[in-house]
Amino acid sequence: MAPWTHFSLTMVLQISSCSVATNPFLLGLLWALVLILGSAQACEFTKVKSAIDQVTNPKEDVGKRFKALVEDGWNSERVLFDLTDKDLHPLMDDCRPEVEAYLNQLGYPSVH
Amino acid sequence: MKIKNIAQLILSISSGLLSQGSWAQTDADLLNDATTPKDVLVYGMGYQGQRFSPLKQINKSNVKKLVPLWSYSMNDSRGSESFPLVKDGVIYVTSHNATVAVNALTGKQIWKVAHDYPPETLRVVCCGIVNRGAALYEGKIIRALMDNHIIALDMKTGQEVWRTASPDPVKPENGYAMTGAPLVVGGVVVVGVAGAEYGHRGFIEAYDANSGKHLWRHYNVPAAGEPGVETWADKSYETGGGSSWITGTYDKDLDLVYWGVGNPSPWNPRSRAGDNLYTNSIVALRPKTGEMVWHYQVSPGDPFDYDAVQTPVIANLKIAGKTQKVVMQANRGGFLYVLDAASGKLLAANPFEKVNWADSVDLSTGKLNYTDAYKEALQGKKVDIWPSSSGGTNWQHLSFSPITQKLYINTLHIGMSYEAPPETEPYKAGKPSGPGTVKRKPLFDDPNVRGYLKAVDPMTGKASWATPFQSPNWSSTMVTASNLVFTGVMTGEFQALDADTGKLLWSFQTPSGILAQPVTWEKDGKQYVTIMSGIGGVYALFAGDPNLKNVPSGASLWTFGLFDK
Repeated sequence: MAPWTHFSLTMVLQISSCSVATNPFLLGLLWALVLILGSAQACEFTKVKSAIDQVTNPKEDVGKRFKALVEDGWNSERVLFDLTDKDLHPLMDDCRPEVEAYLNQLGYPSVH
Repeated sequence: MKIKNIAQLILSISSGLLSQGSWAQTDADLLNDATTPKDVLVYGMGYQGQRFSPLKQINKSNVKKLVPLWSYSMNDSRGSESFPLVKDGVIYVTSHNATVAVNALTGKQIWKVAHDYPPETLRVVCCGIVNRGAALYEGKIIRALMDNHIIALDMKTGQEVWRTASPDPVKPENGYAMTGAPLVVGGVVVVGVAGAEYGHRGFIEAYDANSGKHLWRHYNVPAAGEPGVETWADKSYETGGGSSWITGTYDKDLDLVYWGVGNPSPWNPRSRAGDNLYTNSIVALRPKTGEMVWHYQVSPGDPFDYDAVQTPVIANLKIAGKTQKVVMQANRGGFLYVLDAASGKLLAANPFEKVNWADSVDLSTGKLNYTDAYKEALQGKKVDIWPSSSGGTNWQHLSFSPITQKLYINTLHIGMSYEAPPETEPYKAGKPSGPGTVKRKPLFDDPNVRGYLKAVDPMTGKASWATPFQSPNWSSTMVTASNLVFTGVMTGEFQALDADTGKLLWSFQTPSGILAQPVTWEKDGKQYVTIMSGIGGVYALFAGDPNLKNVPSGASLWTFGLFDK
């Protein structure tokens, strides 16, 4: 993470820590700032990996849907984005090479 | 001034000029590259892009004695696709984030320059984080960076001489990235761009080799009001693709640069009805101005990602008893095109791989005779198509031997089921517009034969031999005057085959997969062969090929010579 991003996030967290829990507007603002500041940064794969693990889990309904769509011919990366919460998309976008490599590792190559 | 001082001055100037001369690559040096095999100065081993060497010290009878002399670690795990340049005993190669100079005889590093790029750059690099090489000109090594900067480095020291950002709107957020090698012609640096999988508007552009000043840009997709825009439905041209990610060639007599143009964007054709000029075309440009002299569109309105970026190779072919200068392209769609180099007139177009989307090409009109499978694909029906979106070949360069008059092509033998559903969302520059827009699944005649190395007659497309490979070779080929064909294998073997029969004559296992470009050169009367090893790139990362499961990554540069102890 770039130093300025870290500084900004720290400031936001400090300012909002006292009231954020009781103020939905501030909570929303904080989340939006996290997403905006977090975009166009180096990949932070931990959260993204967790999302991929969830979406591809064959025991879950979403995992069964994922598998069915990929077997139907849809590109695995697109299906992953379609079945993932939109809030996560900026993080996933920053991690496209890592996402593709991990999908390949799981047996769902994002065939070009 | 005394005579002694004048003499000293003359000596000093002469020695300076000589010193510069030994480093400088003049236009004449570059023009003669194909016939001066001591050095490798131009991408493709000469402006013609033939990847043919007149060297024949390494031949069919002694190639078994070829041994590795040294290897050099690039300290990188991405794919290695770079073309090695060789000048005065120094090899120059690139990776996505470094340029290095290495002693050609010892493998010792002379200098290494790291190149940073913003992390968001990688969001729009569709097909492997790679760089395919650099260009040399008057003491400088010139290359493109992933984040759309062109830089020139001093060949002796690696010091930066100039750096220019490709002008607006060329930014990663608009879908642009640069992975190809530039081509320097008469002091003009011609550069292509990638990004048709992210809805960009592709172009070919040029810079002054000495100052870095931006000279011209030729858009491969016309804007509103420009000729050809009528071949795009509505405003689909705005995100129309047409990238130019593989280096072209140059003919001095005609003063034309030939460059291949990539696929239209999005892949799904249903929102961009029309021929989509000038995507999937071969274009001939004036290097000084960027003026387009002719174009030939290979596959209009392409639904399958059959982009035409494969290097148009220049050669003199005997056609009907007459020698004719042609450009040849083994196109991703599976047809091998031969065009008149001066006019772009179609001379031959025949399949060199399994093709079922078109039966033939009408030589008088250039129109494809489409099959029902193609027509049904456009209607949104699910159909089986050969070749797959990866093509009958991909970016890997073929070679041409003026001796055998054959092209040596690494092909892909993979088909696909294909369906283009109705589109739901409008496309936006910088957002994915490629594989996710259509439904596809790979098809195989035999999953254990996914590619061939073929010796192909340019005028008929017929192969005199075809050597099968379990995974398709993503390495380029090189052919020598001793009728040896060199290529690399995705599982790491660097190989030499008999150009007359396809028989494997020599193989050496490198530590990773090979998807790079072999070159050969001579120093002090001895012939050497150099190639990079390092798996990555679009096939290894995205094809899910089980044969590549146990191929480790790791980029390295290798040089081989005959064992003479």
